[in-house]
Amino acid sequence: MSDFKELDPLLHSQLRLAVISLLVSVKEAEFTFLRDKTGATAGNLSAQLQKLKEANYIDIVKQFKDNYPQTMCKITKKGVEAFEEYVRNLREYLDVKK
Amino acid sequence: MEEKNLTQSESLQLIEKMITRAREDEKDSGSGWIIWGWLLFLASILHYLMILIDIRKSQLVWVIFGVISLLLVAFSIFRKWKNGGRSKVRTYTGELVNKIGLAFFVSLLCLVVGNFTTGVNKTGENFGYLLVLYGFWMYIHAAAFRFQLLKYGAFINWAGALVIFIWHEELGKNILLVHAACVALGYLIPGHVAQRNYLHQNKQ
Repeated sequence: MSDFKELDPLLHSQLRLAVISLLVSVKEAEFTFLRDKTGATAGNLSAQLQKLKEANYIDIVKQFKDNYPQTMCKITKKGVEAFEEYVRNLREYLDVKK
Repeated sequence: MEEKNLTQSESLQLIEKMITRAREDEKDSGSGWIIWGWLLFLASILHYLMILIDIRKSQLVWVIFGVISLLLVAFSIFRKWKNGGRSKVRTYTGELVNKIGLAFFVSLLCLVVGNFTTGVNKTGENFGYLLVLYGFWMYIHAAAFRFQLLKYGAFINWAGALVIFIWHEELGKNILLVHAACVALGYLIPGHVAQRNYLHQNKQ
């Protein structure tokens, strides 16, 4: 039986991992910032953000600023812990593989 | 971005790439350094020329400079407040630098008031204190935005301050030239380089 912990399936997806990596580096970011940086389509990004929100990995705040709709995303404490755990497991795996 | 199964090393590469991309927006446009630098530089040179041709009340240059600076700071705060709600991203570095920037201007204001009330402005030593403060702000900003040229600017300003403190009597009115040189090397050159890099990056 393997000693390796299984990688969090919620983070082990290209777009969700990209989003969490971006959000861990900033305080909060708008939907369009995430879309531009990941190069994802709005629909796909929206679906993946919803999954991260349901897991309480991110907070999403929808608001209006000067009559413009604005969707702000922010990583939660649980999201940071999940990300750190994911990176730790990833490193363990890669270290043994070398 | 396509959805696909990631290998462990691809995951690590993706994390690194995204963290780097998130930091791409933490670039200084250089405009603040350029505006502030030219104002300070011109005020120093103008004051020097006014002393040279023996114009009375030459210190009025700094009063005008102060009024223009306060108006620009007020305008900048207003613009940030107006656009703040629509900014695409808020970074921890950006917020910290803004707060240190505010602390810089409050400290500067205290120093300027102190210069006049204590009379230290009559000997020219006050420019040394100002250079110390400029150097402090440049060094913090350079470290936050990983901008090496500005770090050299900080050292030049601190060196200029020491020159003024040690040789202020010998320097006399030339203190203004030392001040102008430090501003040109510390603010203007890094400011124009930062602006060129910023525009170049935005074109890509």
